[in-house]
Amino acid sequence: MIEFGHFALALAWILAFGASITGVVLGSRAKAQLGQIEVVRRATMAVAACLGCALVALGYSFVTNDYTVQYVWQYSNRSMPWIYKVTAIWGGMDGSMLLWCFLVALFASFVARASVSYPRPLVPALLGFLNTSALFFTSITLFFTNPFRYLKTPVLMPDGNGLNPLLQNEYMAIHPPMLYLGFTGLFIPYAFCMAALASGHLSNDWVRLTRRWTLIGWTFLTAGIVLGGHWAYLELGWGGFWAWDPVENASFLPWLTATAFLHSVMVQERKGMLKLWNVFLVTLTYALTVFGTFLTRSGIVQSVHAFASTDIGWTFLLYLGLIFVVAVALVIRRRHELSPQRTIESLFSREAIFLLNNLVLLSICFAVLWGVMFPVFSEALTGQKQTVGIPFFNAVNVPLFLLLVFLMGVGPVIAWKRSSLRLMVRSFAVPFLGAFVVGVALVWAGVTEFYPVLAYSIAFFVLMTILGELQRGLGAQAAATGAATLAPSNAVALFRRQRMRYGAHLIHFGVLVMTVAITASMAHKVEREFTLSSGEKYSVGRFELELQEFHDEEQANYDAVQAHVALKSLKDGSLLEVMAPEMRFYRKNKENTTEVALRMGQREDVYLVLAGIDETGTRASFKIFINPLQVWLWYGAIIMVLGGFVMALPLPRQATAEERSRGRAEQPA
Amino acid sequence: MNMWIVAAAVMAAILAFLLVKPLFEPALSVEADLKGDAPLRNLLDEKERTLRALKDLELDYAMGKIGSEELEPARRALALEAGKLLEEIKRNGGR
Repeated sequence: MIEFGHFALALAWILAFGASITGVVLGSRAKAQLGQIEVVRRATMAVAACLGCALVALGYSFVTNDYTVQYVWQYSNRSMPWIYKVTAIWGGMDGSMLLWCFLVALFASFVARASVSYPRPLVPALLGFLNTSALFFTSITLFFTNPFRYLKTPVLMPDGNGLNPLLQNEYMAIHPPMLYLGFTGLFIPYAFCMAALASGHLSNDWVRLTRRWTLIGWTFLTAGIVLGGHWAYLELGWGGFWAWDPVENASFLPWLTATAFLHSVMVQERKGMLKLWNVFLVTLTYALTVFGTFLTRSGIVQSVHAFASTDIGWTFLLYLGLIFVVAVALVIRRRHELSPQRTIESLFSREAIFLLNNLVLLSICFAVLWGVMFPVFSEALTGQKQTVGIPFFNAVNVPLFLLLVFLMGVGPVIAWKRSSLRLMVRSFAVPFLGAFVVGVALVWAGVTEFYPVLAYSIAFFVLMTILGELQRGLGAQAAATGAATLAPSNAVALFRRQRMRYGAHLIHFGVLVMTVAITASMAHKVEREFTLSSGEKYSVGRFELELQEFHDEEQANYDAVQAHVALKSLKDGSLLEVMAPEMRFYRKNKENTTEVALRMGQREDVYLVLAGIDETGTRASFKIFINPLQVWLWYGAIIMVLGGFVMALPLPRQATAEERSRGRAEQPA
Repeated sequence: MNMWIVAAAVMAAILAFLLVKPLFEPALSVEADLKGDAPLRNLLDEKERTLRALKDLELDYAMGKIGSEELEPARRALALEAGKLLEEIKRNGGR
């Protein structure tokens, strides 16, 4: 089977090579045979099929315990549950690169399939650029990180080395694929943009088509980042979900630029402005996804999430250089067509707010990138590696994020082109007043720290503006149709008619919920360390904990000790739950891990960690975190993802510029 | 092992057939214009933007973001622009 996988990978490389060259060559011609374009389209889909076969071949080797394969031996073990044998496919560098290639090719094949209805001048170059990206990742996999290699020498452990215990978690099944879907999805806007520049087909078509693909990638990336945060929260035992770790940051950087693009692309679509800016954002987004891969796989930064250090970093740097060189060359070639058709007329216009939103997002992106690269820069300049920690990231980013959330409330309420100052004052008066009252009430209630008060007040302001928008929308819809304003049918009709607008409001509402949850969990978190013997009690917040007993457990791949701790209400002594934090010892890997006991609640999470057991085995030390409103962070993320999918659903097909220029709406081929 | 070699050969043969087939289909032997009419395309884009701006203007008015004193001049300006664009599109052979 391993030979078959290797063959499929090599075939995918040949097809991607042929399709990228042919696509770019056809795209540079004035005319091309439809049959030739169809061959490139089919080759694009065949690349995905071949890489799918290669992935299945690797998975088969894992599930059938083929420990003659080096990669399978290194990341699997006979005693591991089958689900972890499957997830181990992407548990190491080689398999994760193969999955990455497959997802790039899969997205490319979806675009290729949909391209039958795209403007014809755009298609050959688009297919060419899609395959160039697939070719790069397939080349890395085939020539540098090939998972289809046999073990060279007999080894001491014939049943496999086993997967890192931290990766033996259900989230391993969903978090990496989701994150990779996000990363790989965001290469499509770049391919569209470069194809538009290369072919000179710079009409609104590429912008309209790209927006949906960007939304798909953005939504997957959002889900992937949040799932990673949830996994870290459950698995790493430090009571938090985001540590500004370099690899976490690497996933966040393209998210920021993609978010900026999703806003600025609306300005280009409607006003013909920010064309060059959008090319920059799309290129930067793709470059940052490649940079993230480089960061995770080059070993230049230390992280719990990073793969082992390898010598393939230079290939990513080379490719990054190529991405920018191609973009700059094409921009210079099309510079006259990229000049704006209008300028921003007023600072009180939606386009001005979107531009400001972009600048804030890019400032956050720069600050995070600076923090990530600081150890590298400091080592290059001073010879000593210095790192910046959570305080740096929070100090720089918290005010910027609050400004961003504030703009989220302002943008949708302001009109395009120019807003009436009188009507703006009327729209914002109640939300501002509400936010002020919330701020005063919080200070009166004892919340005196500046940022939490500001964050809750801004969140309330944005909530009021979203509700105000909804109310005005329902009113306008009712006035147009004669339906009752609050009738469900009126709301459904409004949502159907303006799905993009209300999908965006849904995402903004999700961000709002997350903002409140993050503020609460940062500002009002309680953290304690304590030691208990059997029968002893400890009080924290509105809870009392009592250590009941220790319990030994033996599983197929690890031994565990659980501490059974009764969680009671301090108020009336009633038992809420018996929590069971545990310490595990993975026999094959000879590694210890801790498993958190978590009681999730709408009001707060109780997060208990078994930190250690003394030599007599009767006394244990614990760490407890009370995280207020933590669960709302996940609810907010679900709302955001839901909003993303609502917006990414296909819209009714519009005639392309090519069809319109021919004066009829026909299928281009 | 032989079984996998046969599977690989079959896979390669099927892919080769599917890939080459379009080159021999008479319906796909037509040459397509890949350059198009750029000036007309730009005019049509501009027309679309103007109509969209009119729609946004109406919506902003209905939602109370602009008043009637701003609506009328802006609507007149956009209608004028749309008229000019339509004439130019006609001159360029479009509809």
